[in-house]
Amino acid sequence: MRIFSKDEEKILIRLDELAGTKKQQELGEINPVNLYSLIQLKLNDAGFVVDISNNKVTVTFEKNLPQKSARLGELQLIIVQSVNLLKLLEDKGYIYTFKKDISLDLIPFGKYNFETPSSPYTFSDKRIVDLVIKYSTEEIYPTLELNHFVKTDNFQTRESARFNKQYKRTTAALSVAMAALVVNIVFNVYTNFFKSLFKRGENKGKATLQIENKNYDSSKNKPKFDKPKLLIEDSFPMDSLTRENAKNKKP
Amino acid sequence: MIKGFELLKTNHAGAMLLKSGLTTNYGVISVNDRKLLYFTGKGLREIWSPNLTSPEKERASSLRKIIEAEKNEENLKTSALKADGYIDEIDLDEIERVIF
Repeated sequence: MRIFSKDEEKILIRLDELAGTKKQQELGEINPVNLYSLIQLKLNDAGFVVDISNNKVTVTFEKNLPQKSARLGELQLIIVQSVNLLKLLEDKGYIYTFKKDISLDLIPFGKYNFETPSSPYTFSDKRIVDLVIKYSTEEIYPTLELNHFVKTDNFQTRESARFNKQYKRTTAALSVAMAALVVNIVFNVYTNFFKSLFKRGENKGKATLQIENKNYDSSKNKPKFDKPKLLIEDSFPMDSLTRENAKNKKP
Repeated sequence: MIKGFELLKTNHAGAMLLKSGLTTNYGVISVNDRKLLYFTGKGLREIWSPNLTSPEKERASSLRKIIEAEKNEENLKTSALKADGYIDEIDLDEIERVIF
């Protein structure tokens, strides 16, 4: 399905309303709708004639109607929109149509007795004329799918609504994941920063202690090992000769 | 209550389904609680149609003069227009549904 204009949405709402309430539709009590009931609100000052035998659709106004061309444009638009919309809905299965045995070859609709009628405007687009004649002689039955489309899904197809729902959920999930990631990064940066700060403070303390210890030893002017010779003698077992040699070498 | 009864307003043309199963055109002249006086399909076609040829226009013009002369609805009911099938009157009970 495509995107609908506000006017088209109004037509869809009207189509659904004319078909009856949801409850009525569920019970199968669908009111048949026709093209004229869709456009009648716009036709209050115009006369509309569908000549089935001559394949002709004409619109007439009062001759002295102000802004006649604008009004004609408005009417053309509503008719073209309505028939194209009905065709689309029928193709997509939102409505079904039923050709009644209407034995009328000329279908007038709207105002008929003009004091001074304007020269009738005839639709020249054959495709539009065919569609107008088709939906003029057929009864339209909206389905529950149309009701769901208009009322529940807000003019979105089921697929589109499902996709949008999925998209929103995925976006929400991604947002949560992103938020968690950001929190994690911030937490890690914060923790590491304070850890390093603390470590630096600790090292600084250690270094001070070392310096203090060093100062303490040097202040006494005492070598750490005052008897190296004895230490050697005590530590290593030496034979007598080696010991003698060692004594002789002594200054 | 007749379905689509709200469409039966003076000067409005459309189609209605009768209880006899017949679908007919109408152009409302007047409507009251019980009866509908209307131009038939023939009347709409030959008097009010916007797509008339010159001879048809002349005939339509003469018929409109009769309508203008018979200002009273009661006179219209008994006029030659009714006898010739341009105008008809129907009980509302006979209408199944106003189609449009």
